[in-house]
Order: sequence, then structure tokens, then C-alpha cells
Amino acid sequence: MSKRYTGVLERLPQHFRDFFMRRADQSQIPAFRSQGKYIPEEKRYTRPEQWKVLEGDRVMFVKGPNKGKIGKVLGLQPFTNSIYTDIAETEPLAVPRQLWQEDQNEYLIDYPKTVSPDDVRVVATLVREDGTEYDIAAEDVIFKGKYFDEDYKKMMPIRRVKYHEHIIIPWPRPDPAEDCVFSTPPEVAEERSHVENSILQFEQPADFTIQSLRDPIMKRPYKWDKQVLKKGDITKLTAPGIPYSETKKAMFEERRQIRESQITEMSAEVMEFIGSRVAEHLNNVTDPNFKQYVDKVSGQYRKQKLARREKEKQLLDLQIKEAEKRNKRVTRASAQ
Amino acid sequence: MSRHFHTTALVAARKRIPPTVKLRPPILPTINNITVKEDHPLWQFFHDKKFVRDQSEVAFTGRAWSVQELRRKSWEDLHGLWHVCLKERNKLEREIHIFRQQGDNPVGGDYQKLNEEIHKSMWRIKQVLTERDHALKNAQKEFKVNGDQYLQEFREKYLTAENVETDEWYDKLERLQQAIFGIPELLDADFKVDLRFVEGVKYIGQLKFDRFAEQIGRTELAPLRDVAELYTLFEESASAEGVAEACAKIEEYRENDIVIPASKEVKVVQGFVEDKLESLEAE
Amino acid sequence: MRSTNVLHFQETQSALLRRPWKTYRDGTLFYGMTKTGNKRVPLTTKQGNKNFYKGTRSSGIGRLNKWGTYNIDYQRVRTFVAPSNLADFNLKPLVSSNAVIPKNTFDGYSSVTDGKFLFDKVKEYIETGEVKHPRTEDYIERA
Repeated sequence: MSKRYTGVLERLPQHFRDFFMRRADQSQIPAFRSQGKYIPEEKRYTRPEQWKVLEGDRVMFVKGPNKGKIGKVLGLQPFTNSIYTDIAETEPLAVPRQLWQEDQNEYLIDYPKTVSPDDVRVVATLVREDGTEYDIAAEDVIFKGKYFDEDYKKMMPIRRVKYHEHIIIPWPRPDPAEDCVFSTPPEVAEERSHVENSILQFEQPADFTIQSLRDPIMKRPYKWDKQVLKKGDITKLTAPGIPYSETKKAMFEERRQIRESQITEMSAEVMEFIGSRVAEHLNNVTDPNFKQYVDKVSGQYRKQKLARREKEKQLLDLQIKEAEKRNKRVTRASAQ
Repeated sequence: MSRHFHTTALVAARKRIPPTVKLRPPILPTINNITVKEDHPLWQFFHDKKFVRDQSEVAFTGRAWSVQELRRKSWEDLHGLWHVCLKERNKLEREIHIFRQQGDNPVGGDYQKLNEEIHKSMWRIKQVLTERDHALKNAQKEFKVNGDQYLQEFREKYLTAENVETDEWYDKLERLQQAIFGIPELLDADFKVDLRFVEGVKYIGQLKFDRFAEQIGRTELAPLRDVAELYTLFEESASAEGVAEACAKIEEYRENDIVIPASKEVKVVQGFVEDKLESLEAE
Repeated sequence: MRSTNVLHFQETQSALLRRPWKTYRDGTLFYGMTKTGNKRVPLTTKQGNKNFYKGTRSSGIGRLNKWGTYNIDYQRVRTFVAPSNLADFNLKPLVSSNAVIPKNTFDGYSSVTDGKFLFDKVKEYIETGEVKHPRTEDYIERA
């Protein structure tokens, strides 16, 4: 593939991009092929809600030869949206001599396959009332609520089992990160040195202009950008219509008057009349089925239904709270 | 140009090596013969004077500066950070260029990743500076709408305060001058007075007069006639003695019967400021 | 046109390693990209006829005079203003991943560039002067 195409690969249409990727792959030996499907940058997973599992999670396989086995997530592979696991399938891969690892003495190596996070289920450990532990594999997880995680140093969503929201699956603990030579220590990074002390200018030099930051030509519309007409452009481009004649104006006025003279709200007398007729009819109903139906659509029935739902919701909340307490107890016990 | 044909021999004779010169073995061109100054500026493109760094030396665990963090940093910090980032990227770009020339990608791509991460820090600095610029412009627009109301409120607070001859109020006045009217604490030698400065002088002068005139019994001077009188008040300290002194000067000034028109206010105040700077320099 | 015979080579791993149709002239294997493809790429400095001068996008900071010496116009020379505090500068190009990204709130304002937002902050500054905010758990920063 020439440089001319690789330079703009992201900008090409999907089918073109696929074609070029496929063609590049065809001419390669497997060691150089892109593993799995290429995923464009905007579709790669970035948030834990998308991944559903993180490094260190225990997972159960639901597909492939390892179906039913429980393994551990070793890492994430963002450019294919898939995960490395410790009991993954391997495939033989031929590696040219130039790329051999230090302890390698064969051309063929066993390269672990990655799996999609959709093909695994998160495993959580719960505790019974009598203290015995048991595992569950969550069919699916949902995310409700957020909390600040001290180890991840950011807000993390609370992971719950779908349809059993009172069961919370805590995120695995990440490895503590050490500062590298390029990174500023946190206490220096959070120091504040800027003060908003003027509405005229801050401490920048007088000859500094914001225009000097960016090249004005950089913002110009690119020749291959899609040209889209906006609402304002359409109004500008549309020729004005022929003005209304006097006759038409008179017609609009007449219609307006008719519209205004229409009765839109029911008067109290009419409402009373209709209400009395309906009540008279309903009171004389003799068919028991129809009577039941009338009771059901009446306001009284709806009130009862809402009250029942409210009660159920309170019960569920109570269960969730208890489960949270239980989970906390478990994590505390395991920490000790 | 010479018209003779016999010059070649002369030139050759000039070029002939005299017998006194001793021939030495030729100096082979090797890299060891080249010495580079320790403080050569191009060393800034090299990390630790190395040709390229190891893979382990560019491994990183940090992340780019976030916009929220950069919003806390002053101009000087941002300028310095930009410079630091730029220098690091110069080194990285050089190393990446060398790898590319050799025809293979940098191992693992950490050079490129680090380069991109630092680039993120850099465009975010630009973002923050742009934000600040827009905020300043919008704040000035906002001041045009609601500024008078704020100044009126401040004035009422100043006039009704129990005691304004305190450090707290002196500092407040100072900050107000600086923040709203751009009147710095210390004036530069080439300071240019503008309309806003004159506005500030008028506001502060009137404020001091209104506060202390009754106390020192000089209400007969009201209304103050022109910017020269207000500047006299502005110059003096915000206390009863200061205003009394200014009032004495104003009385003296009124004997001249000159009133400065609005069109010449900026020029006159500029003159006052220059006079003051000169007198300070003389001291 | 591709031969089926050639395609069969991709079917086994070892055949792929010995790709007889992809070699350099000296016989060593070629593991690079395909050799076919677009040939219409931009000219380099070494191509083109005698009138083709491909610049380096450098210079342009002066003019040749009639004697052939280059006079630099210092108005056009790029200058970089180096910060004065570089000697004891402690910020580095990245931030430790242990640092928490602060959350900025703009409640009651449209955005960080809202004029009212800055004006209110300046009002606060006039009242209280510069305040060093303590680092507490529940302190919410307003940018």
C-alpha cells in the first residue's frame, strides 16, 4: 500500500478501508498481520461501562473450547476491543528470525488468542448467611450509580448484576502505578498559581494575542470535507415567495376569526350534563363482566395499583441496601 | 586579466612546497577527531548526549495534563510547561526520525505514544489560553452591562462602612483599581493612560471626596469641576488627612479658573502621571 | 493477475516463511508491504528536470544580493521567547497517573468562558483578595 493511501486511511469510506486493510494483510506473513478485526479509533472502548470487565476480573467463558471454565483477565487490547485471559486458546504463529524473543529458538510459537468481552461472564463471590462462600456468574451486568475509587483515582460506575441489582460486583484492584521520569508529582500538579484578578488582562505579555496561537489557515474548510447545507444557508439560498394578495390576506383574517370564535373548553354545565348521563348509564349496568371492566378503568383501581408498586419498590430498595451491607462485610473480611 | 602566457610557471612556483616543511602522516577522518563543545546548543536535541534512548528510558506511566489542571496554572507556568514539552518532543521527533530512516518502527511504539501524549498536553495549553482570552472579552462585555450597578453597590458599601481607614479597605480599593480600571500599583516608565484609567481616577477621586468631605468640613467644594481636581484626590491616601490635603490643593487650583474639557482629559492625566514618575525618579 | 499456485503458498506457515516470489535481489526474503501499488507519488528533490527546484520549506528569511551573498532579514527570522523560570522549573510534560483530575462545575453559568463567571470571580477577588483554598475532601472547585 502506498503512502498516499495510508496517510488518509481514517478518512476513507468503510468499504475502502476494509479493502486496503485486507490487501495489506494478504501480502503479509501472519506475524505481521493485524490480529483480529481492525476497529477504528472512534469505536474503540475507553470506559469501564463499555468493557464490563477490567484487568484482574474473574470470568467464565461461554463460547469456544473453554466454555464453562473460569479464568482471569490479564489485560485489555483496545485496538480490537478484546481481552487477554490466562486460559485462552492459542494458535501457532510463525515468527521471522528478526523478531525472535531472547529465549526463543523456534520459528513457531503459541500465540494466545484474545476473546471479546461479550463471550465471557463476570464471576463474583458471594457469602451465605452461615458464612460459606459461593460463586455466581452474571448473565449480564448493568451500571447504576457512581463512586470515587481511591485506587483507580477516578469516578467508577457501580457494577450490578442485571435483574438482581442488589448484588454488586466490585471492580478488581489495579496495580499501584509508579511515577515515571516524565510525570509531575500530584502535589505539584494540583498547586494553583493562576488568580482571576482582572477583567482587563491576566499576566500575559501585552504583545501576546490569541490569534498568534493558531495558524488561521488551519481552520479553513478542507476540500474533501463533506459539504452540508445548514438551516441558515437554505434560507439564504431560497428565493422569497410572491407576497400575498389582498384577497388572500382577507381570507386569512376571516379564518383567524372563525378559529377564535370556536369553543375549545367545555363549560361546567355541559360537563355536568355529560357526567350525569354517563353515570346514569353506568349505574344501570347489569352484566357482571362489564361491571368488572368499569371498576378496573375507574380511578380507584389505578390508585391501588400505584400503591402496590410503591410497596414493591420499597421492598427492593431494602433488599439492595442489605446486599450492599453484606458485600461490604465480605470485602472487609477478605481485606483482613 | 593577465595577457601573458608565462604565468603558469609563476603560480606553480608559488604553490611549490618549500623543503623546510616536514610532511606528517595524513589525519584519517574518523568521528573521534571531531570534538563538540560541551555547551553546544544542538545538544538540547539529545537526551544525556545519547544517540538514541533505550526503549526502557521512554517507557512512561503518566498521562497528559488535563484541561482542568491547566486552568489552575499561571501564564508563567504554562509558558514554562510548553517549553519543557517542546524540548522533550524535539528529542523524541529526532529519535523517531532515526528509526524511520533505518526502515523499522520504533520498538513497541513507545516513542510515538509518548510524543502523542505530550502533544495532547500542548494543545490543551492552547485551549486554556484561548478560554482565558474569551472569558476576558466576555467579562468586559458583561461589565458594560452590569458594571455600573456593581460600582454603585461598592460605593454604597464604602460610604456606609463604619471605618474605612483600615488596611482591609485600602487593599480593597487597590484591588478594585487594578481589576476593573487596570490601574497598576506601580507604574512603568512608559505607561500609557487610556480612557479606562481616567474613568478609574474619576471614580476613586469622587469616592474619597464623598466619604470624607463632611468629616473634614469641606462640602463647599462640591461639585468637583474637572479631572485635575479628581486626580489630586486620587493621588492622596484614602484617609481624612489625605483628603484634607487634597482639598487644600484644589482650593489653590481653583484660583486659576481653568476647567479641563472632557476631550483633553486623557492627555492631562498622562501629563500628571509622567510628572509623578519624573519626581519619583529624581528622588 | 494472480496465479492460484501462488495463493497456495499462504496456506501453510512454513511456506509463508519461504516466500520465493518475495525476495530482494540478493535472495534474502522480503517481509515488507506489497511491491505493487500506486506509483504516482510526489516528486523528490532528485527527480524532475533542470527547472524543477523543490524547496525545503526552510529559509525565506532573506534575499540573495547581486554578488550572490545571502542577506538575512532579521525581521523574518523566527524567534522563540524562552521562559525566564526554566532553571528551577518543576513541571514536567506529563502528570502522574496517581493525580486525580479535578472536576470543574459551572452551576448557574453557561460555560467556563461565560463573562459573568469571570466577573463574579473578580468581584470575589476584590472583596477577599487571593485566597489559598485548603485541600479538603469536600471542596468543589469552580475552575
